[in-house]
Amino acid sequence: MATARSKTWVLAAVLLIALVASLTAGGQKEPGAVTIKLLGWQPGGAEAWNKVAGLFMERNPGIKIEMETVPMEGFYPKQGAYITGKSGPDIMGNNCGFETWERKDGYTDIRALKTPKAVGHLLDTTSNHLAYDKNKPAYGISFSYQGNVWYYNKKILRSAGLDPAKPPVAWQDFDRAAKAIKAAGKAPIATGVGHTIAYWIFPEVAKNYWQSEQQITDFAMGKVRWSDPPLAETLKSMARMSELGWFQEGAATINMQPDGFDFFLREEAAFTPSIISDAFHWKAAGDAIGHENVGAMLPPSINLNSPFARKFSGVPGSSWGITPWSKHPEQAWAFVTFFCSAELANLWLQMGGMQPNTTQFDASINAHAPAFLQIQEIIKNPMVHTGVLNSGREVDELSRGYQEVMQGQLSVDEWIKRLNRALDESPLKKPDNPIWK
Amino acid sequence: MGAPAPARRIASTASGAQRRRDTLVGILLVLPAILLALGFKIVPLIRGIYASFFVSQFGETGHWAGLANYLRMLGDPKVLEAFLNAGKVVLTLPAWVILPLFVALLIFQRTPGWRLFRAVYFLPYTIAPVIVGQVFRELLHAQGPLNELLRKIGLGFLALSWLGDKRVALFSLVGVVLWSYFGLGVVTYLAGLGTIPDELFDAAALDGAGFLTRMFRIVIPIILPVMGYWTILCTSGLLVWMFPFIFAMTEGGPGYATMLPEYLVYITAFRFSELGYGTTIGVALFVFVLIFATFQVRYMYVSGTRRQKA
Repeated sequence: MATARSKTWVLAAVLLIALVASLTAGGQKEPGAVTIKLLGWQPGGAEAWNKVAGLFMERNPGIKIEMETVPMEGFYPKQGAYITGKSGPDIMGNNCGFETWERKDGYTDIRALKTPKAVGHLLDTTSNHLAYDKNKPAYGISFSYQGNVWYYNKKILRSAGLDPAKPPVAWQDFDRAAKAIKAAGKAPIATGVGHTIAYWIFPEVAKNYWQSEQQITDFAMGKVRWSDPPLAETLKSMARMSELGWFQEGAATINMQPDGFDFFLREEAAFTPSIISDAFHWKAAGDAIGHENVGAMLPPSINLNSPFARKFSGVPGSSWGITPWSKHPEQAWAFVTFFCSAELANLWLQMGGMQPNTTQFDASINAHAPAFLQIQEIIKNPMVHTGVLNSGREVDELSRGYQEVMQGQLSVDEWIKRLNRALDESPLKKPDNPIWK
Repeated sequence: MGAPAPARRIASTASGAQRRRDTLVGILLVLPAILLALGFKIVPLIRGIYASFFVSQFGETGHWAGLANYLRMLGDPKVLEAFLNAGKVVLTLPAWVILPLFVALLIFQRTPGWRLFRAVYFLPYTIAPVIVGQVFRELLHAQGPLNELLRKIGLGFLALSWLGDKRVALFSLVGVVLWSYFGLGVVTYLAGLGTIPDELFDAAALDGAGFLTRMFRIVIPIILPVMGYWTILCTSGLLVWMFPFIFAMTEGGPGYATMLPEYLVYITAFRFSELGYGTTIGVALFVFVLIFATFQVRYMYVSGTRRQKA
């Protein structure tokens, strides 16, 4: 009996010690070194990021960079958990516009940090200033310039009897080209329906209907409802693109990233709506199907007389900010300003195909890629990127609604109602919200 | 004749001290479990319920909103659709309970190769749900291998957009989750079947009982508690196991066709940054599962008590 009781006591003591030990266990730290943790999706690719982090650590031996990389679709749960728990990495990525503003409590106002002169211009041009106002807090800077173009496969255009040097400019031209491409056994446009709809397709259709910059500002502030002409007409035209059979079969049931873009890379579609930096860009397309076979163009216009129809929807790319809980904001900011500096522009351009957020780069690095050179011309005539002016709820409804509209399972009127509801539920998209004052 | 009074007192004191020691040891042994349950179950639950009375954005403390989130939820068509979908998923429960039982019974016959089949059925359960989701997303794509096969064998009329058509997407999703968790059910039932003494089957065979008689007169009555346990696990699991599959396969789409409450909680809290409202939907899901589980646990308790009395 006594032995059994002793064993019970020993067991109880062991369990208690194990519990205490597991609750108090912690990692070993290198003495003297500051570790900066970064959460991101590695726009531009792992090779470039590792190179940049290596260069920084060489120059700053006292700082160790640890990157937590998650794919874009898994980024928000991670980021959300960190913001909710008010702990986690020192640096986090984000896209510009509402995506950042809605998560502003996870970022510190970088104006309070010491910014090297070399990247001072980025602070002026970043769209991470709250409500695009340079007098308001800024939540990060971008090392890339982003925006929308359509890529096309010159081989497919040729096989359909079309001239790759003159891709369609107007919708009517495109519809004729689409018929020829289908007759040649290919899909006109490769796409998929995820959140990219709000960022890659919506702004390109909407720009045919905006009448003024003030109207776009009103859209950002929530003054333009989805039942109002510019937005309602945009949705009707998006539905029309599907009715005309421009997308590949099953497009509504897949994501653009990576499935829709893969369809283009497999040379099963002639065109694809995409972006100029980060990924799914001219470099990815050129590496897969040969740079000589890839072209870049502005999407065809519904209304060539519209003031914005032939402009480029541009915005600073993925942005990088410092978390308010970081214990080493100065060191974290040193790393952010380093990888956003003009010094690395050529490296990002060459290794990641990133369009730098500066003019100080050597375009001849990519002279072998006609699509890249076409992009350099296209971006000379920019406008505000209206995709990033959608709130999270609007982005979600645009994507969900389009899935159903493309399959004839939702009317445009019903889609408009859902989007108006999403607008009403978006706290920042209210004219009386303090961010607009 | 009992012991003399002083001896009884000594024995009583000794047994009292031992009882106290035993109680102390008992408390110490259950203390870690109680602490873990308090720290990781009860406190978060109370905090969650408390947070549902706040309107809050990411990182903000938020402000007290009383029942505003609950009132908003009642008028939110997305919430209604998510719970309707949850109801449809619960309707598939018989398949979750009966199919693994059927397979477990076949394996229990110990036909040649039964060990291999037991492992084969359990294997999908060991694959991470996100991986399963990714694989099935490809398999079930409109132009995927499944439809290709159907077309090749002349069943092209059955080649549907399994995950893209809102009429079938939810049931396609449930089918994949069932495939993934099926093996766990089989193994659970086999554990129950293993407790049935062989003598019972021998006696039944002597009495001339056939397969069905043995099943319904011996097997099912004995493993009824296991069925009850598996049913409860499935009922609550159906509504919380689905998340990684939805995440990997449909993201709740097309439209809201595969949106279930737990996924709605996630997008509300972490995509739309509305932590308070997301928590409110989570509390509603908790109540929804609790209602089903309460009925079933009560049924198990009552049937177990009855069995003990018998």
